[in-house]
Amino acid sequence: MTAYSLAAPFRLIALEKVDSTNDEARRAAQAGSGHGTVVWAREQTAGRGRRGREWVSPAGNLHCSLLLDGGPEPSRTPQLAFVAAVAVRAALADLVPGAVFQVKWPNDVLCHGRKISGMLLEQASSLIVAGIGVDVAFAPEPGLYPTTCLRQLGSGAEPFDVLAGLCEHLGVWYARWRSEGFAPIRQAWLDGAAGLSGPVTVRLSDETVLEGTFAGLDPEGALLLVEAGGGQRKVLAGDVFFRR
Amino acid sequence: MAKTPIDGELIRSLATLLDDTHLTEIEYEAGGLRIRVARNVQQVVSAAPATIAPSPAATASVAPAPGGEDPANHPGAVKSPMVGVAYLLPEPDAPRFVNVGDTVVEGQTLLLIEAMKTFNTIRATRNGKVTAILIENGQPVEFGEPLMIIG
Repeated sequence: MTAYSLAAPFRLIALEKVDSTNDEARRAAQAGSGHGTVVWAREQTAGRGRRGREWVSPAGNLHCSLLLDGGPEPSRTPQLAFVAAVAVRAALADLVPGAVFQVKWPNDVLCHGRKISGMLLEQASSLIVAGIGVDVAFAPEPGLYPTTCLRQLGSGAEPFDVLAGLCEHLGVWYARWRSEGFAPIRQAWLDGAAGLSGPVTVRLSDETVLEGTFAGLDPEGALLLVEAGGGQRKVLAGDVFFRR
Repeated sequence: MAKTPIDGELIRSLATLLDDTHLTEIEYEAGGLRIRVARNVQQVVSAAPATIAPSPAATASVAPAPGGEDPANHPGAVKSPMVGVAYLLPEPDAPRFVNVGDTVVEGQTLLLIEAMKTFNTIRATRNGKVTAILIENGQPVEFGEPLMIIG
């Protein structure tokens, strides 16, 4: 896999198979790799989602993890979740011009309501590792959400095509985030948001279930939920379901 | 089960017991109600979800412990660098990163804080012993909120 390379500031570590690209990226960070390092594996044997959920990772789909400098303020690093989501959405829109891609809070990407990409961001030494999965050739069995893949959408793109496009857009959006702050990222995210102003169910980590209207994002990216009684809640972590 | 009223008398006697015995924490469980009182910590009454209607704020703060002080001022306080949801275990079925009484070394992972699906690792900034865990697993935390005390 030596023929592949990415434009600066990204540097590619391409692997046939790895346990988890996030774990490999963390090991790379500990060994001194810096901002812009991209770990890409054709296959993950222990791909992970949020809170230990399995991420099905066959060859044919994109599994990659990017080391990013989270900036000087640790409290703002979660904003990178939105930077990455906006970049993935843009990259997929380039590959399938006729399709409508949307972001789902905080950083899934959907096509016509079906999940096509998911992410998991973790701290790795002084950097953030942004683990990004895109279903290219195979849509996994639906778990919490319905799924799709680029192949089902009529695209013949290969995983590296998606990775290259994603890095191109991420480079641009990351630079804007560092120079202009969260506002333009937040706006781009809202412009492509699924379910805005519609009914939503949020399941929190303690299994509490909130229902209400998805009213938008607060200035830091928290999901704003207006409950039936009119009260507004800020959600920082949870699983979001759109109701019809 | 019907909603259990908070038993102020019980909490007061537990707090007195805590004071008399110089323990840092007492946990008492009976009839589906669990009460934990801890020193140098806001006293927390936490109820099993079956007992009291579930709410993200399933903990009710009551008056500070007698002789208690603000844990945020403790020199060993580990404070949250961000708003988010705190996790004391790496995955839902895994053991906790640390428990009260554990000896930790600088750099050891104490907990995770999730915000917007970004997981931040909170590490011990010094060697010592975990003398208090001030939050529950899955609890929302604020910027600067004390999370643990490393004595």
